[in-house]
Amino acid sequence: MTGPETLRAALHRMLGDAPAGADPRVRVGVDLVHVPRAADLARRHGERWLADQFTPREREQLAAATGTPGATLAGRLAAKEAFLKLLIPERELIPLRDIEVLRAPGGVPTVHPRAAALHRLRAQRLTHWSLSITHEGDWAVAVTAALASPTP
Amino acid sequence: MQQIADWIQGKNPALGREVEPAEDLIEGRLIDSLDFLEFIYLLESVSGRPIDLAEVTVDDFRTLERIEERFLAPAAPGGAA
Repeated sequence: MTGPETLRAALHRMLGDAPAGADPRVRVGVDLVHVPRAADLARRHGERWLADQFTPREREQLAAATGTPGATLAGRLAAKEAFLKLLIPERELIPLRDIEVLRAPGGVPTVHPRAAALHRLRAQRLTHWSLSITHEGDWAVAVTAALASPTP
Repeated sequence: MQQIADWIQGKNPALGREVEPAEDLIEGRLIDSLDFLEFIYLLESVSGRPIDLAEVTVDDFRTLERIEERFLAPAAPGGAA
């Protein structure tokens, strides 16, 4: 016997009950940055803008970037914005500089929250997070994911 | 204040109208996060005063009315000794 009911029953046996909804312990953030736009901002506003967006460690890595430095800049900005979405800020302003994004040995991008971002991270009970960045042509995109520990 | 409104207008050319004084700039996504620092620099330039991001909230930038009240109002005179 075939048909929607049989298929539904088969899927239920395979997959179990459908989830009730989004799991509040799981957060995802994504952001897309136009590479020329990021480069234009850096060019127009110069050192002050770079210092306001990036920590000294980040700037050191950005200055050493080879290949496509513009895409690297845009990717780092996208990463900061994507991580910011995990924090779900309310009324407070979290400077992007407080979301430090560095390339670890081996090339893996890592996030090091500090100051206002760290404060919000703890308030949101986020304990584990991950980041991925990619770019193609004029676009850079970053995706972040995090786990929040249950509210006691 | 017109300079502020013109900047927002320039960043949103598809808006096709003037920004209302009480219009929610944040919910309406009229101030892009990537342009936010540029907006801060503009406010500092127009007001002649530095802005400490640790001392402000999102609500301070929510409407043109609030921006004018928070950042462009004349500085309060010094307190009496």
